[in-house]
Amino acid sequence: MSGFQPSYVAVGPKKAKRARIRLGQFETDELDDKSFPADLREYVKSVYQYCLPDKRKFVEAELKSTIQNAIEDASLYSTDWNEVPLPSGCTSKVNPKSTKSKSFNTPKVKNAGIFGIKETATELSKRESRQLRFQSSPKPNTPVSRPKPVKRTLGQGDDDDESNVGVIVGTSTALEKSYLRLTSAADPAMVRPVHILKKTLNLLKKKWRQEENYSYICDQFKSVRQDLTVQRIQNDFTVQVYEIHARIALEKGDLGEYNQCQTQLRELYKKGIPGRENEFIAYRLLYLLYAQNHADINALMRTLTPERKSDPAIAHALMVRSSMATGNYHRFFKLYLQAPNMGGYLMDKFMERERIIALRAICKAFRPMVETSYIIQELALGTQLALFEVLKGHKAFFPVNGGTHLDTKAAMPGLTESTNKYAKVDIKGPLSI
Amino acid sequence: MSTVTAYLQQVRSAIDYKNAPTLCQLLQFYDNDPNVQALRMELAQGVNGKAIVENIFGDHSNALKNFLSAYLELVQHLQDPDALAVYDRYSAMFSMYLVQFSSPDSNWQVPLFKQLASMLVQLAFRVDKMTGFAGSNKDKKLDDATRLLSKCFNIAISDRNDGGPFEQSKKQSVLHVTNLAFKLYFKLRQIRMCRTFISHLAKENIQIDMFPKSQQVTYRYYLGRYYLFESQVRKAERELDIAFKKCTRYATKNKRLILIYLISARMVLGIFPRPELLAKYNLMDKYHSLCIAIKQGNLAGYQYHLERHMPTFLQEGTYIMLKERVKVVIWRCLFRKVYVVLREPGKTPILPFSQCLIALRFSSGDQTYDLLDIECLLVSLLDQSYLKGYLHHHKQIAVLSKNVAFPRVRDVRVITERYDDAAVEAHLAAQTVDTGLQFSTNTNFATMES
Repeated sequence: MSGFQPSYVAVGPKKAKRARIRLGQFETDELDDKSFPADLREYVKSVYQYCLPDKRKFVEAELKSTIQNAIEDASLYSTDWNEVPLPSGCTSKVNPKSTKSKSFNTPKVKNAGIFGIKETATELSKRESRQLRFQSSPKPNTPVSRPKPVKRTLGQGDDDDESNVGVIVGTSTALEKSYLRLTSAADPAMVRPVHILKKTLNLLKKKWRQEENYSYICDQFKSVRQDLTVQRIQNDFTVQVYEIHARIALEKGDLGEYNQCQTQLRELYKKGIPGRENEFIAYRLLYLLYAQNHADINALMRTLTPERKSDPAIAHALMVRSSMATGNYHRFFKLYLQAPNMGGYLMDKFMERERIIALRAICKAFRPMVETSYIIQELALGTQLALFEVLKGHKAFFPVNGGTHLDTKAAMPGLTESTNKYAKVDIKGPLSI
Repeated sequence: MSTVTAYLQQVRSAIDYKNAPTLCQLLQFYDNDPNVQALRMELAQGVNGKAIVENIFGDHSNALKNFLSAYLELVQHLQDPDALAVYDRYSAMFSMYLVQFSSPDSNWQVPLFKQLASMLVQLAFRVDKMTGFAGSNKDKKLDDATRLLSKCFNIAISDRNDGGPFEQSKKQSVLHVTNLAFKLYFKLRQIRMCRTFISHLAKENIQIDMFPKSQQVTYRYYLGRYYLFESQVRKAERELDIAFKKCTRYATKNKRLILIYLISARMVLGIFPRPELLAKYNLMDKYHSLCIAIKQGNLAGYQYHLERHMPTFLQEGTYIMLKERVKVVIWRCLFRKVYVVLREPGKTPILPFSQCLIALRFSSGDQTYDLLDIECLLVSLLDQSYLKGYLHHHKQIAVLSKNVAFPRVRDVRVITERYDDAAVEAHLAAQTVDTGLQFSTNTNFATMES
């Protein structure tokens, strides 16, 4: 996807106030706290955190001059404050928020391509207008799009050099577009701006309900995602798109596509963009249960606050986990039938495995036979036919009394063999989330 | 004569006579050491340590010279407020030492090697502690240390010593290094990484009992915890038991630590500590009520006491095991009580579901349980061999074995030990696409040679 993006860190009001007080002379009308990018506030916080006590005055002065310079050449927003080293006089010159290699000590000025022009907001808007020179004359019914500065959410610094060149604003008004992998920089005429994409989304929602043509829908969604990526749009609309696509993918059992969306959503949620985070945490938990990735399950559970645990979707997923851990098939299949949102589709993926494990336990316990009605009910199979299909598939089809009972002893070997195939192997799932 | 020169001549003499203890004494890192102080002061005046090294050690290897120069530089900057930089220097110096140590004629240096490795870990902990162990793992110096320790381990374990005696091979240091590495991995919560060390030790047939007791105890302690992490309770119990027995009684803090995990493992196996033991190590409050609740078959009580210490158990990583695995044991104890109450001499013991339901509802305080729940629980108990007999759905009863209906919990084979690594290997190798899972060759999942 896009290149390196430092994580957005929301700074609460209290901390912002402290930063404001310290930076004294910047209390002008134009510069209130909201106009200081969040990563700058983090930078200031880091500076004060690592500043040596006897060098405080010296550090403060340096900090003030750095910020003043940034304001003067309008690079306040475009500098990635997470990468700027701390002034000397701090215990470490290396910025703790930096995720780049620590051996870099020189401040990296974000250059755009070969000309070494600093990427400020003003520079970018000028570039937009220059680019428009090369567009075809606007069609009669399309509004003339004005050069807009690229929408930047606070706290995001610049990206790596190569991806800087790709940031554009789309002009296409085509509602539907097939997905084509990009091999070079995107052409703005082919990219749809946000307001068009919103209309597209509504159209796709309708079409999905009416036609249920998955390959078409998937293709369309991917192109919408691509347009969003290329325009660096990361907001609640983006989240919405990914969430809807994920749900559709789940409905069709397309785990690959679901995983992609899930990964992106996690990143977006981390940046504080609102969405149905609880719903997707529950999906993730269920997915990890499918993959039997207990290490990640434990890690995820550790991060859950009591608040999250009480969310119905997450609570459901947690109960699924615990019922699996204690071999409680009765509760497990009850939960399957009550799965909220799209959880049931995820559980479908490991339904067969759990059924076989439960069947084997049942055959071990009941002798000489057991009522098939009991099995059908407990394992949420629905019909006798469904049960027979499952049994036949695992060399366990030994009906008694015309099918009202199952010969448990005879069924054991086949079921044991199948259970061993599903043996608990602790591996990471197909695509690690 | 300058301090540095005099000092380095002593070092030279120690090296030439292969005098490891003296060398260890000479190479110190704390400011209370007179050598360190004197060296630092003189180096601060601009004396060129590197040149003197070259002068005195001209005929020795470059690796040694680099190492000693790095040591002098480190000493010079020991008081640098930037602790991260100090650690980095040490790390660089240590890497140079490893180059020197990997040569075949440096086996006599094992004591020094161990000392330097310990110091590395100590420093790493100190530095990361300053930031409160915040941040992701790769930012931590502990992470850097683990990589160096892996190198140490490889050097130590692959030492053939030209077929010479074990006592003179670098392998002497292998358990010490392993213990250091385990300490780091557990702190970093990368417990799976221990697997490579464990399997290599097994491959090279390293006899744990030939090492000093202190190292044995530490190793078995971590090994026990590793097995617990892998849900292999019986193996864990065995290691922790040996560790506890071999640990000297004077190391009370260590004994208590081992005991915590040993008790947790044993509770799952139905073995309970005596109150005297718990009292001795101040563990009464934590475990006593839990054990009583288990023996009673008291679900609600057990839950209550478990929640009381939940944060501690979570921290230790035993919470899930205590919550779920022990629950099965509690069911077993509960239904056994029903059996004891209802049994009649000479007759086949019968356990009606309805009676079990009454018991379960009473024990858990949860009235929503129904007969189907009971049936499922009994199936579970039978499946895991806590119960011997069979169920009859239509009559809604469990018919129990006349001989031993409820085998002793400690005799029951714990369920997740069912899979052994060899079978897992075969399974991975032979996997078909039917299962719907793609098995990637996860490098963390190292192969264990049986």
